[in-house]
Amino acid sequence: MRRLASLWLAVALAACGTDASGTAPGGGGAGGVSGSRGVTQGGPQDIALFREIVARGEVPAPETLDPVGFFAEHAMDLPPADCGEDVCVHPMLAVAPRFDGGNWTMAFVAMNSPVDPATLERPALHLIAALERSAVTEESWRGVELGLRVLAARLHEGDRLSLVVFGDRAETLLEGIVPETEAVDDALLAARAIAPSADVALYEGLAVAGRLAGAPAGFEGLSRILLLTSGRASAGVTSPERILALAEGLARQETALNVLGMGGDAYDPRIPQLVAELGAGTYTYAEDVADLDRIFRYEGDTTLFPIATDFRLRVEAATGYRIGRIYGARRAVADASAAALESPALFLGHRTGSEDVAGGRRGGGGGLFVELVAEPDAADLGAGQPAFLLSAEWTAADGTSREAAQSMLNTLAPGQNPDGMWPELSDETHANAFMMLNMYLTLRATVDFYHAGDCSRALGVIDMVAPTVELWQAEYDNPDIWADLDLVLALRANIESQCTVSGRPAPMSRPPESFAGGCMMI
Amino acid sequence: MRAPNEPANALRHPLFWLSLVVLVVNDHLLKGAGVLPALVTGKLSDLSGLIVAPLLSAALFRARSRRARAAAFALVAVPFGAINVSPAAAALAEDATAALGVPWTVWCDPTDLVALAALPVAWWIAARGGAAAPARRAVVERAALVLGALACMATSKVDPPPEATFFYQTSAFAVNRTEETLDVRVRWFDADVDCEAVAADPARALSPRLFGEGVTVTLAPNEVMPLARDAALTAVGAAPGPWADRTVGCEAALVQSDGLPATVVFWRDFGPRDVVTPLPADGDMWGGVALLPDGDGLRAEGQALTVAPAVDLAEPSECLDAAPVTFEWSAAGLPSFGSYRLDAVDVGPDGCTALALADVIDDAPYLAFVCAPDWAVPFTPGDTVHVRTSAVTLRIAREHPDASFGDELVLASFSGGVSLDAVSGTLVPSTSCAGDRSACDAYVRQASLEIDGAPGALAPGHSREIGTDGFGRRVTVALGRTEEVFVAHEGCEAARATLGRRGSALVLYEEVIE
Repeated sequence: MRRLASLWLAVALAACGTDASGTAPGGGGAGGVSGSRGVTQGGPQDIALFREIVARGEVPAPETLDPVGFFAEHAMDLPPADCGEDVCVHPMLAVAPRFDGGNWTMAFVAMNSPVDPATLERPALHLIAALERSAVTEESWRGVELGLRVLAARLHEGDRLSLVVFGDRAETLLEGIVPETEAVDDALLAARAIAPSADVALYEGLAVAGRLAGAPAGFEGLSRILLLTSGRASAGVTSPERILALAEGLARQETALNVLGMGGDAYDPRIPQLVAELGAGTYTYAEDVADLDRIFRYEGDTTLFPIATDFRLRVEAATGYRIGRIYGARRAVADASAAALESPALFLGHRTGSEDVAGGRRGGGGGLFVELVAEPDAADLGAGQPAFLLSAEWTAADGTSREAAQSMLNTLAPGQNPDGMWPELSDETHANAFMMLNMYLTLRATVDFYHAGDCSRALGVIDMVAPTVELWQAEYDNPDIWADLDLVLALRANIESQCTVSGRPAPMSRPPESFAGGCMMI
Repeated sequence: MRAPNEPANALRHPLFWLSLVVLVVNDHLLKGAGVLPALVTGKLSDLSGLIVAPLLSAALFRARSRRARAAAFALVAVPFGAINVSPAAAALAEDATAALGVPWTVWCDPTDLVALAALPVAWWIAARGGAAAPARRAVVERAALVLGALACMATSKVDPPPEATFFYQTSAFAVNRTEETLDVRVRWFDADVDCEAVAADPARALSPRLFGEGVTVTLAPNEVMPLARDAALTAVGAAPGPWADRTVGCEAALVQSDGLPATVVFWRDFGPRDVVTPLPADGDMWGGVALLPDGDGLRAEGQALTVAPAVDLAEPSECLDAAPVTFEWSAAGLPSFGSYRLDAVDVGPDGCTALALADVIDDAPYLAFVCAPDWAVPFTPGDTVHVRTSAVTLRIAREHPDASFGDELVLASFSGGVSLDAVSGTLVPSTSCAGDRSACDAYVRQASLEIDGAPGALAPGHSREIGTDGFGRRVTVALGRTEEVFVAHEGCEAARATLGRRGSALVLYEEVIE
């Protein structure tokens, strides 16, 4: 099964019964408070395709390694969400030498929430299915029909169902009805009568679904759109900016948007990915009819609770630093002085069903990594000065404005390396995020070198980093990092095999002089 | 008569003469002629030279005893061994020969030590000596001495590597001008480009992410790597890529090596020429990128091409902040012309306006979406509107109670120029702004509309009243996203997947109420 992204929830997911103990209803904002749940911004939630290619003995192309998906496969060790808000923001800092002896200063910002969605009363749901009926989706339309029937059957009493079918135009076939088998069957018959079109009016399909989100009159509950799409937008409004703006506007109105991609080789992931990265719902790709069935079942079992809107995060470089590279959030923007990330809405997810893990990893992680580059002569500022300033602001579920600000100090002078090879960490007990980043950078550099024809350095990156990982693991023993290391070593074997011309020795491993990661060893 | 153990007697030996002939023919006729592989001519030179040179040495120093002969042989063999195992010794030899006015290029190659196997043969010839030579034979010996010395001095280099005679046919190349061997990675861009526009600032226009798969080669000092993609792929024995027959007028490559920041090399396609490798220090650098030592790292310098560090995140231009979105509409299902009752006008969460229409004849419902500024949609529920659509325009006109012309909105997408009723004009690229990279790494620059008969140009995101039309209506023109695409690729949306100038505009005709 080739799944671009397995089923995931854009913000947080509490699997059934995994953390429901000690809960108490009430509390601020969205409801009850218990434990902490990671809050991540949207995007693919795994690197299934990358892993699958490695498992086949091949070397994946660099673009198949999505950083957001990679980070989301990891469980994030974060401090408790005890900030008193529904969203807690945690800044961290790591300073380590680079492998070439330079300085590596990396900021990391992650979010979690004390709200346990499993303890919240499930509100009524108005589910609006916006289904593309085109030449691309026609082949699996029977599966779509079956899936919608399954979904309708899993809705609860008091829920409502709408159905929009769109090809080169959009038609509303069900409008806020109590989901009854007969009405759904009739609507599906009407949908089948619509000739599959070559062009797709994606904007119109989503806009018509969005107009239904406020209806029906008298309904009180949450609205969610399930958008089945081949990713193509070829009729009417087609610019990605417009489609994204519509999805963003819907999210601001607290309408969750789950994207279900399908279409095989004709699938175009660009717009679905952009929409998914808004963080307003789930993003799934269905390879076949069996996938469709499972995804529609999950859809019926999932509840998304809005906890914040208009979320804005800003990491500002302190005096003596400038912003370097950023990782983990494609929507983040940066200049030399600051990196910023905006999300129209943050939702907490809850599913009654099985756990969602990927590739042996525990899943649920993510955050924003911001490289801080010391300015020349900044060492004169001395140790103990701020490295970056973190600020966040958002509108809470109760409509009030909230904000948080923190300054992160560097115990070393800007650009100064710690003694020895052990990194200086602002929080040693929650430091695995930095090794997670190193693992991503290792994989990325390896496939980059390989696809540039440099087998020696592709192997060299791994041989340079792998021993430091083992030393790190001797201290932290993190299962996700072990899984990463397995993947890295499998990739190494593939590269060695692919680069070895028959009858000739394997290429010599040569570490590159420059590597974007830090040297983190004990 | 000369004594039987006279060293000069060896110069009459047939093997000496054979070696001398091989040395001369090989160095001056066979090398570079393509008759024999360079590997063979290189080793032939070494083998014959290590017979001729020791015998000459022994003759010159009149080495009669075994000890003297060994010393004479060592004078040849030791330097030969040293320059083939030590780059420093090779460099010293180059300096010394240059100082003597016979500059050699000396290559350090340990595999050449195999030629030392010729020394026992030379020793055997020298030790065997020969019968005392009559006087006339002394002439032969002197001739051998002179010819042998000349042959050794005139040889092009002590130890030519196999690559010495290789030529690449390429429009651009990189050459290693360091004293170390470098692994150089080259990738080529996968996009359509407007060569003229990109030439102004290739590093800004070409995102490193646009450079796809590439090749890596190991370059010894002064060795050359072709940068033209077909030449490079051929050089490494790879199959030509899908771009093999591209003719775009310019080329770009991303060059990387340890110690060298990712570097964009851009050149106009001035056709291939022969570039020899290794390239001598004074070789023709036209179209070449020299990789030079720079402190602990490397730097790249080009001649007749643009070389600049790759830019990962390009600073946005001043225009980017004001870049508007496209005016668009969705009216699928609507007949190309019809009259409708406007039942509802709703501004959506994205700012686009939804118009709920009912056909005035059969009451059939339709929905249209207009993505344009609020002020440009003057219609209200209850209006009767005439709607006309085509692939590139949407026209909505309010029916006036007295059947005259009421408010009217025209939306249009266009390329090159605009011609809408009362408004016509030409798109001109902005001269005040640099280009910007889009989210998909297309490179675009805003374009303005020069309206015929109106002063100044209308910039994207701006509107302007341009007078009244023939029916006395006030005419306002607004420009949506309008740009020229200089770098386009298939990973982008349709409007940025191909090169060209295109944009969107609206024209609003408003009744003037006295």
